[in-house]
Amino acid sequence: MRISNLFIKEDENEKFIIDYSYADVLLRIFSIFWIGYIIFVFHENLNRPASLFEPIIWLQKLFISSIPSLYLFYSIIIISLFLCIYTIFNKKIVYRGILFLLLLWLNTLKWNYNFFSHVGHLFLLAHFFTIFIPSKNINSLNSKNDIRLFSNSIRWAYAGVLITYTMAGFWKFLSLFHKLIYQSKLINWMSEDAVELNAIVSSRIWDESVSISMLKIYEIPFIWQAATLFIFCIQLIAVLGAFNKKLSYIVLAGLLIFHLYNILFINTFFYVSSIVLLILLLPYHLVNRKRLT
Amino acid sequence: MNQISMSYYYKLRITQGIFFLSILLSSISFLNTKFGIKEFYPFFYWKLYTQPLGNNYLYEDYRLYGVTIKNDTVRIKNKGYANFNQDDYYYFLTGEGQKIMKNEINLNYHKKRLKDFGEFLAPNYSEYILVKESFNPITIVKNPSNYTKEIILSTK
Repeated sequence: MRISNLFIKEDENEKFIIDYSYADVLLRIFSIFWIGYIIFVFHENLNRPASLFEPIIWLQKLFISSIPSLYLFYSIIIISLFLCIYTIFNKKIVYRGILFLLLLWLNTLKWNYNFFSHVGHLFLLAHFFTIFIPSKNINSLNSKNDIRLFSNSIRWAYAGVLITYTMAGFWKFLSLFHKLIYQSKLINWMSEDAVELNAIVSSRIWDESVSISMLKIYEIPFIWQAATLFIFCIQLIAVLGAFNKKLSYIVLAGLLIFHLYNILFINTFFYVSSIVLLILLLPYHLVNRKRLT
Repeated sequence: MNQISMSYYYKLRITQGIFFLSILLSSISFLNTKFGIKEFYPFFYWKLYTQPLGNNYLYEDYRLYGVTIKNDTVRIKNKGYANFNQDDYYYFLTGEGQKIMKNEINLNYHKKRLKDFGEFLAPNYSEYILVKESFNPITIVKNPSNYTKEIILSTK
């Protein structure tokens, strides 16, 4: 906890609270669209041959061992939609907790066909970690101490979300060092061809091919290794962005570049994660400077 | 501290608590996966893309093939289908292929699934086969048909 204090700036406390008051509402509005996407997914599942449906993880085995009935599905959809809007105004822990559990259930629907993706996790974790953030707004806080405690709740909740990227970075560095030390002749992420190989395989998986112009760009020496190293570092330090505003903008920009590259060139579509990052980390206080003075 | 401040204090402690709990659960997820148990959803441990794909100049993926009545074999491309986009196609067949390769299967169960999948994507074949294709990323760029095929499962 001492390490985190190195990055906490007391003068950013109010910025955290103001920014979060917007992020909280936007997360719930975005959740409505996300639920719309889940309705689409559910009907896709209904159209597929029933024999292909096979639960993978414990939550599915316990609660969705077969495709749910229309009645059950739409009951949960209606309650979730209601809670998305209701929790904007009533931030009680119990309502936000129930909403999180329902979203958790809804997210498992898509992943019963031999693959459980991590695409929805960041979205779910954003709901999970913000359950215990106090429900007051900045105007009703009357002491420095309350402001400090409140803003630290927001920091730690964001840390819970962003540590996922830090873990991703940690494994990448660990594997990289392992490969450099024990299998230095094999290809690793710092090899000249690494990004190009990854892109070629990603395209071929979808029976597509990398364009000739893009292949030429992959041939440019050093920039891909430098870009990879930059992204790995951004991932590794991501959790610190939860504690410090200035760092959070660097982390946000870096992670968005990372997701955008993957969306455009690697067929890895972490749209939901990108939107959640934007919702949580955009500096809304800049729009509303008056309240800070 | 007054009552409101106390409540802020406890809420902060709980949020810190679930932060460390989630790290613990992610670690359990990781250990679970090491021992062949599934992840502790949604606390994944994020060990993703630690090596570039194709890093040993070899990649294997799976494709569906249809066999006509005249015994011609047709490759049913992963081009995206109604209700099965390209990711769905790729992951479904990879899952089937890997289970069959590991022999952890009830063969008739997987034959039925492959037949249902095939008839759904591309009807009118008399037989469907699951094929493992292996390729070198460097050579496949120059010649997209430069890959080897191995039949993993047939619906017959």
